[in-house]
Amino acid sequence: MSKEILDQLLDHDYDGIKEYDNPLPGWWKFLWYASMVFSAIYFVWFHILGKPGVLDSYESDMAAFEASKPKSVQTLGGDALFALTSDSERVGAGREIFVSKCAACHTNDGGGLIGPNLCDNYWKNSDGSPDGVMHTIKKGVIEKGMIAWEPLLTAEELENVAAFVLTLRGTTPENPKAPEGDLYE
Amino acid sequence: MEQRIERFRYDDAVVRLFTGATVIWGIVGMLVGVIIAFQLFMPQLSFNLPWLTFGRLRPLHTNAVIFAFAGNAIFAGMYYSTQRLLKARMFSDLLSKIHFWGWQLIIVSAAITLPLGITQSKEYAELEWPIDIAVALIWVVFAINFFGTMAKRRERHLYVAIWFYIATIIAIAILYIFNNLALPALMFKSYSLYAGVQDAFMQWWYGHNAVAFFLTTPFLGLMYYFLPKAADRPVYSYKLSILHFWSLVFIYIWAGPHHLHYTALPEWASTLGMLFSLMLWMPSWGGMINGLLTLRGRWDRVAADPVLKFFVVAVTFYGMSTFEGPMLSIKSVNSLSHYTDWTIAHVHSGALGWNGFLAFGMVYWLLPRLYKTGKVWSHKMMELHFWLGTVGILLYIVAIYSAGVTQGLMWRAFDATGRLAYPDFVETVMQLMPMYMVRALGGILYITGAILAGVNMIMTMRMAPAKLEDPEAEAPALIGDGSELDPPREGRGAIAWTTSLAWHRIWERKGVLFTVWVAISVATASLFEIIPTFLIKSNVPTIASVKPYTPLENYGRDLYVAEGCYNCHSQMIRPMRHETERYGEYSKPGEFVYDRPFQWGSRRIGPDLHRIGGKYPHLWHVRHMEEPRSTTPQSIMPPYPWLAENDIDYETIQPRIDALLMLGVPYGDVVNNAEQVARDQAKQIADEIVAQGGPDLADKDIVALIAYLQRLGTDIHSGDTAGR
Ligand code: HEC
Ligand code: HEC
Repeated sequence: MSKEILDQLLDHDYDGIKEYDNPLPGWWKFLWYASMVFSAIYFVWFHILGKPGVLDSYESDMAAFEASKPKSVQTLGGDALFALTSDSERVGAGREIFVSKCAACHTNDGGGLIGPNLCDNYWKNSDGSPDGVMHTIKKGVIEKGMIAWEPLLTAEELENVAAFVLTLRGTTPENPKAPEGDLYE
Repeated sequence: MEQRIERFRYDDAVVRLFTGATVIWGIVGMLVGVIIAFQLFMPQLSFNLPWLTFGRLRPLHTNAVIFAFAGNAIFAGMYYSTQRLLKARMFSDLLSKIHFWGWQLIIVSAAITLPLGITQSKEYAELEWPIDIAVALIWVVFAINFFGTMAKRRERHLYVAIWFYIATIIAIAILYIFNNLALPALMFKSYSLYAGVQDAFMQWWYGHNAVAFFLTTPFLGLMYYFLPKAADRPVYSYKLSILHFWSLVFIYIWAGPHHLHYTALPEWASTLGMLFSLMLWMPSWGGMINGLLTLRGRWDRVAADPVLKFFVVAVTFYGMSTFEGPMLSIKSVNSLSHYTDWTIAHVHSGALGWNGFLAFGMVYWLLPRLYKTGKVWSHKMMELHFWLGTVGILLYIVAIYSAGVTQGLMWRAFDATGRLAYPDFVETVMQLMPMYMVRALGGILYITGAILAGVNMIMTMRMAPAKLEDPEAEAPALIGDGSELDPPREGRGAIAWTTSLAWHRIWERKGVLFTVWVAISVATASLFEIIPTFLIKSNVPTIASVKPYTPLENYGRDLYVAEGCYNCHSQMIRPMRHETERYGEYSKPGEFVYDRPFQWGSRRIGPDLHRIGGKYPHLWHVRHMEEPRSTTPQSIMPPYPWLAENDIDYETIQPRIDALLMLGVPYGDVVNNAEQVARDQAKQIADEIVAQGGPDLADKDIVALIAYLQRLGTDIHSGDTAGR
């Protein structure tokens, strides 16, 4: 090919447009053939020899992940969690989370809207204790539309927002939703 | 043999019409693009009006730039060059006129129906069935006109540009018709003949090849005529033309499934999509090489001639995007790029760079010739257009590439505890705001250039002589079949004959044979993938618990389609850890058997919705749809307050269900009283909303939409749907 003479004009003439009889560039041919060889091998490898495909790699990825993942997020509970309610820094951080992530359903002051009023002493899903509230926040009430926050917030964020929720009790929201659930003093 | 010289005139009037339409629709289509670019960082720009929402305007933008801007450009260039390359006036002036006015009418009807929410929701095939029929008819008119001209030509052989035009006409007809097969239920509502996985496959067979045969082959044809003309140089390599033409025509068709990697499409199909895309790289570059090397020895002229500058940038972008395309079809690259703005960047380097610049270069070359002015009104303005356009493209694509990669990486990021680093979807959206602003700026620069082209065009038209005569030409009539011109075969063995490509010269004088071969290439490649996709049962394993949508849910689904939610939301969770962590179980093929049309989407401006069912209480959706920023303060989703105001059109429920029944959806007893069943379910949901403390929304559209959203992705876990 390399010996072919460049820029030989053909006797073509279309409305004044002429064409050269130049050869195909060598690198062009090489890359094209290479893409074909690669494709043949790839197809045989995955679809004829049946090497692990997309779903297999997903399964193994998940298995490895499940094995290494902490089963549940470790957070403070009981009195240690309640003690946070007097840590203004952490309650402040909790308020921010509440306003950005919870207020859509519970309103900014916890008065309730889609979700229940968190300021009264009536609770649907727990006894309203620090551990109970933390449990509801972590696991959610999926069928009723309360999101499980455990996969979405870090341990510290969970503690902060739970501490903030605990400070709501006894406050007077602007538009309180009627009490739901049972009374716990 | 005595050759009779014939005199005739070219029809340039129709070329002038198409050229004007190109520039006007170009500006309109780009304007809509700029508006939706702004909406992505200023969602209030939908002004609470249904027909100004992103979901309805985005299809208008894509259809306008593809079919109105690029379409008219193709027709202008084809009508101009075909007549000259075949040495004949168009077959029929009447057909030319019908083609032009028919096409403009289709564009106008698209511009009216799409904002009204009349859509099939298949990308670049959104137009509803009455308009589809009109498109098919006009395309036939165009084909008759073109092949009629070919039949009465005075040029023995067909030039490469004509080959590309033939491929365009044949392939688009096949693609358009088969992807749009649908059963009308109402005047402006039809259901796809295909469902779920198969519908997705057909759509992207079409979608990818609309890029191939509407934005690539015809533009290559235009390049092969206008670039050597403007540069006054011979085409670099005739052999390369032959090889890259046939390989494009044959290989392109296979590549469609690369739009569906990691989805519920069978993996063998997705692999074929990837491999044929890789094999497409060099054939595509064949076109680029032939374009750029034709300019050898003319680079001095390129610097001075804006037309050539437009062409050089166009061909360069063609090379860039045909490298990027194969790269994006590699599965592992695609796992990052898919659903992000990377795809949008890719499309725009092709559309703004390759199609846009080739079209503008061609318009500037044509104007002085069509209007007999000797020159374009303002050379400076052309230069300015070139630079505004170039900088515009660069700003656009650099910004939107970074947006794509940024968001793709954020979606898949995990923190040290194995938790998603950005579990909140909006967080990943907020990151993109600055880049969206830069993109909008790029768009403004580009459209400013297009407006300058409009001004330049009008001023050039005003310089034209009062009467524009059709240019005269002469050529000898063809006598005999021309076989005496065929390259000699003697003494060449079969292999030598084949590799010499000399046989191709014989094909080039046989228009019908050539066309048949093009049709065979396109059809064979299609059938190789279509037949197995439809026939192999294991491609879509059935899931017993998956049931048809109830009449109300189906009505809600039709609202989802009409609002164009698929423009921002996917319904296809890929089997990847970060996706299943974020959205839930990955999507199975059997879950979509009642989805007509499928709603997998192609871009996640908002989160995936396949498993949205049951995630939120009804009331959350009521408030979110009315004003997304009431539940998600940083949301860029447009508000849909009219859904809570418009009444469900119960009368249309029965015909909808009847149509689906005809398509084979097993509705059982429901079918006889679909309307009552819908009313009952609507009442139940409306009551539940009130019980949650919400307003009374009985019989409002929002109730149907919520019914659909709450159903999405839940069947896989429910034993039956009766108790829902
Ligand atoms: C999508 C709406 C929604 C969001 C967002 C939401 N909640 Fe809830 N929440 C609910 C609903 C609904 C309930 C009531 C569930 C039931 O009926 O048992 C609830 C219940 C609760 C309860 C238990 C109340 C009781 O009576 O037992 C707590 C505590 C709570 N949410 C805290 C939070 C916190 C903290 C956040 C933010 C991190 C949050 N919620 C975000 C909807 C929501
Ligand atoms: C401009 C793009 C856009 C359009 C069009 C759009 N959305 Fe959204 N959507 C978003 C974004 C961004 C979010 C994430 C923020 C939020 O929750 O509002 C979202 C969120 C959602 C969510 C909540 C998802 C979740 O898991 O939290 C639902 C449900 C939803 N959209 C439904 C719809 C429906 C139904 C339509 C059509 C009527 C629609 N969207 C149209 C962008 C869009």
